Amino acid sequence: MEAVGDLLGGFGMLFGDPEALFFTVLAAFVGIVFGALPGLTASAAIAMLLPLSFYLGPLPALAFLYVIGKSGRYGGSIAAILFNTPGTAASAATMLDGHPMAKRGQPNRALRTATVASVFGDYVGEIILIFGAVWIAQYTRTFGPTEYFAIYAMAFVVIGSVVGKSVVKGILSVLFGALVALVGTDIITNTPRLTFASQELRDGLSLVPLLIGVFVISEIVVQAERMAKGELVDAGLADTHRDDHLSFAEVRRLVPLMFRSSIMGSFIGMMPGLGSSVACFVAYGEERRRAPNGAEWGTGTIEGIAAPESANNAVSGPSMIPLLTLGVPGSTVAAVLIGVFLIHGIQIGPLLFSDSNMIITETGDFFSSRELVFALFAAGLVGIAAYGLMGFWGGPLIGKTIARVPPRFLYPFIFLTAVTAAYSARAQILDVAVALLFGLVGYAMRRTDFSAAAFVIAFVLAGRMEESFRQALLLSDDGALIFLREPVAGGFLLAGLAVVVLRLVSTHRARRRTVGA
Amino acid sequence: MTLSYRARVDLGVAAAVVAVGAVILAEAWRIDPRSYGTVGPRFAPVVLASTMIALGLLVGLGALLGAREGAAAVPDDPAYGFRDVDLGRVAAVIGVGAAFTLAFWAVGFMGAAAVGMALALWVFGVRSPATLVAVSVLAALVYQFTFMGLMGLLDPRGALLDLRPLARLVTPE
Repeated sequence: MEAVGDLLGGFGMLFGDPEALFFTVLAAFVGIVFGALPGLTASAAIAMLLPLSFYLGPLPALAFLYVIGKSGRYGGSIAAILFNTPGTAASAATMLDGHPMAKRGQPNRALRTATVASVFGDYVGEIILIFGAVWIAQYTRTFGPTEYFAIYAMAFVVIGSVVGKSVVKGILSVLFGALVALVGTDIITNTPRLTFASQELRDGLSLVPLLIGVFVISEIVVQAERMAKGELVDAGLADTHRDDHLSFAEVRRLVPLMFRSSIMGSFIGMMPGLGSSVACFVAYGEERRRAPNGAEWGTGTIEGIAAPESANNAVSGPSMIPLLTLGVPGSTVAAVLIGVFLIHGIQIGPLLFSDSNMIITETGDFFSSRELVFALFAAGLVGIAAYGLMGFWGGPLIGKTIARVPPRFLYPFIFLTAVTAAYSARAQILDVAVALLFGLVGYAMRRTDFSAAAFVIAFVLAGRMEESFRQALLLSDDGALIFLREPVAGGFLLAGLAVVVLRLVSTHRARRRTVGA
Repeated sequence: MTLSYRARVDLGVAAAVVAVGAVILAEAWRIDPRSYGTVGPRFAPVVLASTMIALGLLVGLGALLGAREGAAAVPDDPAYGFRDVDLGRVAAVIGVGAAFTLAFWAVGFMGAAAVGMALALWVFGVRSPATLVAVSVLAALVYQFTFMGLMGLLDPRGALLDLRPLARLVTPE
């Protein structure tokens, strides 16, 4: 019940800060638009808008990026339904029923089903986040560097092995991200590392150009290729609309399905690395199996839209649980939020829920990190309502407007915004070059089954992992054996190992089956 | 033994990973190993780079073993690899970014924004000179106002030509 009181306090803090409220609502709109742009994702939006958050207070900055993550996931369904191109990987399953329904003259019905299901799933996920994070944080507060190293190590191998099609390439993505993170000066000994004798690299690489490179520049390259091939977005929608509405009775009928899908999405979201793209297909497959009209799925049923949309949006909240309780980002959005917390001098992890961890803003306001986290939860709940209302009434209009903007103008603007945002993080021209370099790296990663998400998460975590490793060894009397002697640390390391082995075995079996067939 | 397209790409990937890992390992070996604790600053880069090389070799081995086991019979994923890469377009987009970076250094942000936008529009198929000029100039003004004016970013002088007096018409000091 303490959490409920804190949440009410969070609403008070949010509504008492007009800037935070404004950026929460703005984020709902920005996320929908970016998510609805074919090929662009919430991660791309966050990469480009991250520098803006440096100029905001902690709550507006966190709320802005967090809500973009939510509304961006929803926005992807607009592109999936209207353009048959998922704006995000999370909406790929929505396309299966959403686009056929739109094509037969029911785009509004499809979009409204997606909106209702997304909002439902997001609320379920957010509630699980609020109560789950508070509960777990009670136990993780006592963790020291030994446990943290084990948790980071487990997160590295789990994220690396589950995010992509290939276990080895996923882990290689993690290693690459970690090595890039080590470029710069070692904070303990002040020794330059992996700088190739360059003075410019002594400060290390910034997250913003890296994100912009792998998520935005690489996507612009893909879009330029598509334009050259004449692969234009063709909505192919019917001119006449019939029965193009969603009734309240239909929504009521969908509630059990949305609830089950939301729970599935929430559990998938809690596991680092498993994101919306997995959740949407798991829910779609499971609900189709259960459905009496399973044979009709794929032809344009509301159930086929509601299941993946509830699941992929339910991922959003719980994917923050590892971040808030352990300091481990479960998704790219969470990884970026680590950067925002640190910029504002807030240490992430279970101590976030402490009342004595005070934050003083530039304007002289002060509050505890617990109050900030609950205000962020409140912003999440308000953001869901905002994107739900905007999407329900304005989704079709946003989709049609995007379809009218010629890509030959749209993508150059995104490109210029991206390179300028890369510069704006540290006001260094070198960062633009870094963004371009990682644009090429990201493009190559896409084409060879490497994982950009694993790369970014590892980049964010590597420094902390090394620090906790070195601290743990300083505390240890018998070297690295401390990681096995401490039961919690040993448990996490074993769990990581078990996930890799299980994943390798299942991949090997799947490969054998394919070769055998 | 005939290698499938995927196997050939994977061999290329393995070679690239091993090469990158070797370069990083060589650079890591130059790090001063002195430490104030049990593990110095060299430890993590060396371990990570060595693991990278080992996994790179594993990717290569997997490609060769897969080919021997008959994976060539499995239909290739058309999205995998670089078969349909439009190198010209890739180079064009990165080239626009490089031109923006160079122009930024040479003439400052506003000039670079105009050059970058004009080239990006060209790459994406805009050919009308009037449109190219109008949109580029407008974009330069809007970006100058937003990023240098509203966000207050550092607007460095161009190394070859200082266009800031012109930019100050949009963002007065």
